[in-house]
Amino acid sequence: METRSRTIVSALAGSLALSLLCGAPSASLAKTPADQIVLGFSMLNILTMDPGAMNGAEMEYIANMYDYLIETDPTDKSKILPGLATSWTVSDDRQTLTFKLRDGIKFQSGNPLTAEDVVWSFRRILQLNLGQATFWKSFGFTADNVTQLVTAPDPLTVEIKLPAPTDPQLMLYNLTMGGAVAVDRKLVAQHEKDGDRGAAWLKTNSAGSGAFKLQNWQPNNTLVLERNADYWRGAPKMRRVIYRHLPESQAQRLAIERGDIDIAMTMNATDIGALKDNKNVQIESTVMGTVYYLGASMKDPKFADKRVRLALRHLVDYDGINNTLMPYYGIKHLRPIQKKAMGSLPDPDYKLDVPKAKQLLAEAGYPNGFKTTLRVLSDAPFPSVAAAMQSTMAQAGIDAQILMGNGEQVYGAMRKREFELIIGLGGGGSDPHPHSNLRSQIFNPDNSDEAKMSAFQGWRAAFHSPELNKDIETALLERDPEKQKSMYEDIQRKVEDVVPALQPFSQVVITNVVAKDVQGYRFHPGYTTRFRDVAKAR
Amino acid sequence: MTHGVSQGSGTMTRARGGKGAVMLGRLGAALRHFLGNPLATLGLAVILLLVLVAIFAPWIATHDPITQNLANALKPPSAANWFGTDELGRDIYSRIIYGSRVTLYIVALVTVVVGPIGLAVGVVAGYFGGLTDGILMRITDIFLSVPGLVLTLAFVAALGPGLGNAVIAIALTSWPPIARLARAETLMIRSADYIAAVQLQGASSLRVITRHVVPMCILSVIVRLTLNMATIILTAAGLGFLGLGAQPPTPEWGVMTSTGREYMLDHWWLVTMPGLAILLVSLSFNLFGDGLRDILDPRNE
Amino acid sequence: MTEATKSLRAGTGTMRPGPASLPAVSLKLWQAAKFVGGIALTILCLMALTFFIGRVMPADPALHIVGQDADQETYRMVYERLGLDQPIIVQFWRYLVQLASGDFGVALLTGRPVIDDIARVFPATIELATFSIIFGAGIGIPLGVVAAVNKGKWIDHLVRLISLTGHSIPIFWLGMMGLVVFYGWLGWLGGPGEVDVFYNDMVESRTGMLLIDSLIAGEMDVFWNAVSHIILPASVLGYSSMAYISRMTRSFMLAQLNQEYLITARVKGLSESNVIWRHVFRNIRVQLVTIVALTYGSLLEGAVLVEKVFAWPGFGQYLTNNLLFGDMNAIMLCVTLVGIIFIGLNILSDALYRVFDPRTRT
Repeated sequence: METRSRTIVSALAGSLALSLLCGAPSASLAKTPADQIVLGFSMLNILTMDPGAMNGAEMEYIANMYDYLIETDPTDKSKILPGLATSWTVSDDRQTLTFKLRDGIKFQSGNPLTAEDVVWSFRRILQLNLGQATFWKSFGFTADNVTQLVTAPDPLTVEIKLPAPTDPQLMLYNLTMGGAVAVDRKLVAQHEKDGDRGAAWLKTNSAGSGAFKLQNWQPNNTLVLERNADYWRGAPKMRRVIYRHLPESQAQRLAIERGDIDIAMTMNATDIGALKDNKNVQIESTVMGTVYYLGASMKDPKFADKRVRLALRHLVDYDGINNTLMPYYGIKHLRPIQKKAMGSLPDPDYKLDVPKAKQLLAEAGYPNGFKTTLRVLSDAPFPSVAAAMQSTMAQAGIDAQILMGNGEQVYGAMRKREFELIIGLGGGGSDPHPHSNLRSQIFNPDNSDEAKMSAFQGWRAAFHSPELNKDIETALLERDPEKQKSMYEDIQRKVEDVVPALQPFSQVVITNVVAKDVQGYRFHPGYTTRFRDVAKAR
Repeated sequence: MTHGVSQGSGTMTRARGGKGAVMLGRLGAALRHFLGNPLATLGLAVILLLVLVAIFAPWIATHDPITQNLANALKPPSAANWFGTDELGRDIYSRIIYGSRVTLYIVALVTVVVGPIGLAVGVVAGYFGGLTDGILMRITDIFLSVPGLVLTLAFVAALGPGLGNAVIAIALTSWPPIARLARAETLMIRSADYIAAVQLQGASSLRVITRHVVPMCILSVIVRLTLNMATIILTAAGLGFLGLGAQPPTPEWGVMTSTGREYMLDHWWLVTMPGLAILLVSLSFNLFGDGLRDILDPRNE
Repeated sequence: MTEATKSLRAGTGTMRPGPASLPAVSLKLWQAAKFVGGIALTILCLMALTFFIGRVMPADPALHIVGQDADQETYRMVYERLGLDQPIIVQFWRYLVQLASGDFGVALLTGRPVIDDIARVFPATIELATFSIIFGAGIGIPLGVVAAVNKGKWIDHLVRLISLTGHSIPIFWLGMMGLVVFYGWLGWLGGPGEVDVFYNDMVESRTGMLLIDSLIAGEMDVFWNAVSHIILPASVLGYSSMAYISRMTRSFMLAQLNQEYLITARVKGLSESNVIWRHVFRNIRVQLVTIVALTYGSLLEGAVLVEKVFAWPGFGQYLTNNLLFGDMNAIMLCVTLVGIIFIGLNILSDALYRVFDPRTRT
């Protein structure tokens, strides 16, 4: 017996020694260095570093590695500020925009930045014909006409002629975001392969004039930007900006509590709320121009009936959802045009009204409701919003089965017009022009299936109003700002009457948790947050 | 678990047995042996309890598992809500009680599908050998050449998320180890003298297989299936965690854990309770299966 | 792995002493060719199955690339450039042709060569799995020995309970709990990821394994930081593998403990611990090494969930992410690689089974 227990003891001692060895000296928990900013967020949608090929999520890096001709003020995004261009003019016929570039700007490679580079970069977007081309094509630019329309009369002048009449202000806004940056043409030429305009090389390299350059990018792990000490605006204060892939909200929260990251960008409301009283962080919310909406496909005969859509309008608990589920994600907003934009109106008085909805459904021939499906993304806040809408719809007999999926599955179905109900996020508004929202949500130039106007949510939901189309086009071309404003107000009242397929219920808010010692960080409502002036108070 | 060896050890469990009376005697001895293993008995007791809970769920639960009550959300365990409430104000205790039905449903359905398929493929391959064996085992090998969870994930991704699809995907990936086990058993039985005797008497292949081969492999297949049940529960929970399993508002334990993790730092009970439920039940299946394997292992005698 | 074992056995059968006659050599060649051909066929079928699943999946890499607001023309162009408009069989054939020319393809989404991606993520998983197996075997084997020696005693039951718990616990749940307690509350260990992010790039990548690279470079700060990050995921993963290792150890020990030579040894007056560690343990070590090797492979499976919880930049996460976005080039190479590893392990397990199962030994 004695020997046996000795065996046990020696075996256990072995285990113990081993576990001690494994768990021995944990390195002292370091805080982020004083000269680096570390951001935690989900990098799943980061696919490329090429300004011409990105689809939106990458805009923040682009804005730090490259420069735009003009920028918008992060505190008031309708205000346009100089970038590479010191001044810009619009011709009297509103068809030509002329930009004067700052003299002496150099790319990070040391190559001088000229108007030729800018023109080459803009043309490249259309020639590549990827995500960023959609913007330009909406103005009538094509890969063929862009060489005549976007030109460089001299090394410091860029001239853009608009292919069709439009509001030049809209074009100006679109030049402050997306892929409209100056790319180092000569540097790219050294890495060009089979005439790809550097597409392969630019995916993983930077060739800009911006405050930072790409040092290292490992998809779904880390992205490191390093300071450009020769930046023409002056060297940034931070040596590095580091993005870390932390898909789990709790992990971001633990990391910012422990000082392992400085800014948490994709946290859930519960975790953000829990940090409300934390003295070491501040919670910063920014209202964006996009909306959360409930969409119904009018390809479906049920939802083609205006009374059913009106019933849906009365089956959403707007206040309940916005007060309990949307904090940090959105604020109540029930109209297509974003808050503070030209012609924005106060919210209409829509309320959850089950008896009225039931009555409307009965009139439409559905006294006992019907079965349908409701598509949503599986990320917060969508599942809880869907559950809330599901339960209010059920009160009027509408049995909506929730189908969750990722972006490609949910919006993919919508783009193919294969859905019934959807809770989505979008509806234009990345720039502050009201046209951007209306074009995305209401405008639908051709309602046929073959037209495949899948960039328009109106087409996706088969909402088609020739009258509103015409109003939207007329308002865009109106030169008198006062008149234009009242036209946009009229359009929204009309929208209220016709009951469109998309009903916004909240305007998007992005909430970041930022460590107290970070200074000068301001999230940009156009997703072009810049780090050139960010510092740390240590 | 690596498929290869656990199958091997399963095969090692069963002695080259006799028939009839010997079998019965062995069974009695086995039962005594089994009851002498307190942990395995405990496992069996918990499983029986789980079945009872699932049957009598409506009487045992204190609340409706689906109805939301936002005013009562995220309340800690109390006299009114024994395990607290979740983010939509639903009673976690009642959801776990009803969740036992979902768990049993998944386990039972997968087992009922996988057992016969695995047994049939294995026995046929082992008995006939040659080309049949080659083809069937090649298919089995293809399934065995990727980790089960990865393949399940791929199948669910292709079929779309949902409880039914999760069951199909788990079943699709868990029959091959059973087939390999049944084949190995059959190979051994086939060479036994009494099989040759029966064959000489002119019995058809079908008769030999159903009357003489299958009864001899069934015991080790059952042990393997029992041990498999814990894996099924964990895989289903893992799918729920990745958002590919049961869909809300079904009170599935894995999904409850997965949605609860959003709140885990401040409201520990949301993840802890369903997590413990999964642990308890899968541990019980493991203890039970392990006990079964022990008594059938010749080296323990 | 029927072909494999058959040929393995046939192989040993022909290795008789004496000059190898020509027919024996050609028979060996034939067997070897059959063996390799069998594996190749399995992998080809596996690839076909994967390709089919991947294409049936409702994932749309083209839409992911252009974004949900892109116009149809752009979307269509990318869709066709990725070859998604072709029938599955044509796509599969093209893939095989491309593979035959030694091109493993680029990840559809990020445009990087898949082989580079895998060279980057695989070492991270190897590192994690190695730490896990040290944990699992280092604790599992002694526990198994103790359990066998005390068969039927309370300590046997305790060991059984501890190890089976490891096998029954939802691994993602244990990982989350571990993060909250040891990183969030106590602050003893590093959080998610391989290393604190600002240590990134401080060490030149030679092996791709951060612990080794940092040691080579002599960056001890990085090394200890990386150690503090790997302990938690490795223990969680290791705990789940411990169950199997300790159960098998117990089984092997029990088989040995009944052998006669032990009685002789005891009669000779050797102490019990001497008997167990010098004699019994020596006899089962080959079996144990094999079991540990097999478990090592199975850790790939657990890594899928653990890597997600711990944001570990490894193979499991790479595979799941690409699976969800339908990036076929990446999925195919991953699955093929895993397939080769698993088939190798299965051959090993079959060989082991033949060698160690007393009933099949001739």
